[in-house]
Amino acid sequence: MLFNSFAFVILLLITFVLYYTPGLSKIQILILVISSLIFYGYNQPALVLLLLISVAINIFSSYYVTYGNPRNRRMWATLGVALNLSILVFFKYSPLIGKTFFKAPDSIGEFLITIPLPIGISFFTFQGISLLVDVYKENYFKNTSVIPRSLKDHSLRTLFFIGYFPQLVAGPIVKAHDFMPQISIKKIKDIDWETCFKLLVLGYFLKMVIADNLKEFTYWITFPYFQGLKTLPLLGLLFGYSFQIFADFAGYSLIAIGLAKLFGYNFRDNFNFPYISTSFKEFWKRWHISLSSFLMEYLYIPLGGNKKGKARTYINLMLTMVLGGLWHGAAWSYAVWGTFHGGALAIERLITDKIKIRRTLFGDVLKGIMVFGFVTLAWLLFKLPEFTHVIEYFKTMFLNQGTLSGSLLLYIMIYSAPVILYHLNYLLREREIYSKVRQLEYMPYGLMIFMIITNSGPAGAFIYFQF
Amino acid sequence: MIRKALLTALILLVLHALFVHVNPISSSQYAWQGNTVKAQQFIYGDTSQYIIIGSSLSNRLVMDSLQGITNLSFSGQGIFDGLSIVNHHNKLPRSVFIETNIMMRGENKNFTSYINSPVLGPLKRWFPSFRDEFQPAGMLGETIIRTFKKEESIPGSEIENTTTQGAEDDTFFQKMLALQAEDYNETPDSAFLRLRFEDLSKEVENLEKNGVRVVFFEMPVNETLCDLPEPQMIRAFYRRFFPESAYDYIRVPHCSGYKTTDGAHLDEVEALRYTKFFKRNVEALLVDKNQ
Repeated sequence: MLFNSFAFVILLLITFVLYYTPGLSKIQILILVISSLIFYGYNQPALVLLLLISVAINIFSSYYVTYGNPRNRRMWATLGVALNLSILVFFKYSPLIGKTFFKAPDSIGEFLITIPLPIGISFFTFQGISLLVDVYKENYFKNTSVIPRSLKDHSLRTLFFIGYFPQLVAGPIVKAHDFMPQISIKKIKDIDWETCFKLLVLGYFLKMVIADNLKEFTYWITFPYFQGLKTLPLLGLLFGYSFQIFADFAGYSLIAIGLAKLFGYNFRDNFNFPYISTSFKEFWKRWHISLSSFLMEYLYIPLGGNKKGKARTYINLMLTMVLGGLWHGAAWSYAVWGTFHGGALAIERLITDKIKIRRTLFGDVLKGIMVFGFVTLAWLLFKLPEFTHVIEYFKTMFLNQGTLSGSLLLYIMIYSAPVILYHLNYLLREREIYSKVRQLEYMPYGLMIFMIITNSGPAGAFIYFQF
Repeated sequence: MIRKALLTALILLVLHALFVHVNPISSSQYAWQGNTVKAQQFIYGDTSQYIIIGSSLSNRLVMDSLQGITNLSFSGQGIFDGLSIVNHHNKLPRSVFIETNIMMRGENKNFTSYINSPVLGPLKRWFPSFRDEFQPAGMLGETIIRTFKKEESIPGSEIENTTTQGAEDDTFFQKMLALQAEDYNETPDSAFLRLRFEDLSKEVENLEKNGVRVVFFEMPVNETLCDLPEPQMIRAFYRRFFPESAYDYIRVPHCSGYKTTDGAHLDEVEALRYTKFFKRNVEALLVDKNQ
């Protein structure tokens, strides 16, 4: 079910009314669980079964880590993580394994290629792992405070944590230590309406007006159509795609955070104005924060982080980014994308370790342009999963010189402008004039509602659904 | 804050409606929107006596030369979308000209449910400012284009044409032609095609029941594609389901000589040439019928 579909609006209204009905406050979690299962299984009911299997693994593993024989805690946690990863690998990477290691017409290879990718599997698997690691390590909470003795209650709470509809299919990846302690009875009077309103309006605007319109232009990045275009349009399309992918995913995250808040649950920010970053390290602290912090906490640090010497630090960085790349999709191009970013992070670290550069405004602008340019070029691997097509794109950009398609560039600029303004607004937030502008903030929100009503693009699935 | 924002949105909606009323700048920014604009202009406009239903191939017909005929050919889509719109809105013409080239594409439910929406439909009928052709960003873009170009842009044409700059001997054209040939060389699954034709038969039956005359026509493509397995099989199915003894056809004299931009879509000059041929045949058919 899409957040921008009519069916979802109906489901949301019914859920909201039932959830806050006074006599039903004791079954609030059950109401959200049922809603979430309807949300997830709406188009493909069979998927619910896989979700339930995944959740069941985490219910039993986390329960036995907490209440089982203390000597077996490690075994239960390891088994749980291994089963989670096995499900992810089987459903997500089988086609890649089939294509890479089996030559057609091998029957095993053909079987592996036909395995479908269940929507949201990368997200809910990571949440399950987060529960197991948090329960095993007890870094953030005492197990018995979040895992009830009753297996029935624990099952419901775990299903709720992993299956809660705002974050189920495309994140943000919510960590157990952030979410589980929030589970309690919620009251309608506690809703922060203004924040919810702002999050939802901005989220829907970014998705429906910016991303959905830009995608109709960036369609021309598809092979072989881009080969008929000239240098400037090809460059414009790349920048357009960079703004589209931000608007699409940041929009989705804002909607998810806003929806969760309507039911009394707070998610952390998933995007923090990433395109103002002046270093790759900063970019990854601002882009898809829930994934980068997950990888940092559950992969980079357990690998040793930067505590085991310089060489290990670079290896850990590269490994984390390559695996992070592969998390996005089962194609080698995603691993290449991760390698590019890993390489950029490693080189940046090497330079900053050796040379101390004094910060200036000019330097920051230059670095910002460089980071944005690199990130934008690398997004091409998302749009063109065939690596040869990426090479072809750059070749075409150099060979088909010219400046045709004025209107294509114009519309990309029109739809990208709000994303640029959004970032500029953040940069200017500490200036004196900003306090006066802030008093008029209802105006841009009014304008965004107007644009959602009059200027939405054709509804499309969110880009991150495929991951 | 929420109330003020909603009030601002309401004021902007009223201002936009007034602006569209005073200065209706029609625009279409991309192919999908070109399709929705075309469909909405048909639905909310006067009833047309003659309608062309087709895909992006017929979208190339030069409509300035075909006065009085409405073209419901949609880029990237097939004939079932046009048929769905005509039947759904009960805006029945005297004659319908159905393109025969593309039969593998069924109805695009996203498109038809958007166009035939029971909620948005009436809203767009009574408040034109909600129609796709009057989207604020489109109007802004169109105004800038007109200011700098000093000429009207053809909806959706520039972007489509960006892929079609090459001459028939250039590398890009050859690549596109090779890709088209791959498709045209594939023999369609006959059971699947039969289902498509059964659907088409129902649509045609419905039109005929309401006194609409149905004429079929084929758009010319590159001569190397003209007689490949897919078009041959489609022609055979047409002959079986809609025999020439019972239906009128406008046949392409021969594909040779027609130049395309990618193997399937006529270039501007050739589109005009075919439009003239099409027009002569339509006039002959209509005169014939009147006699």
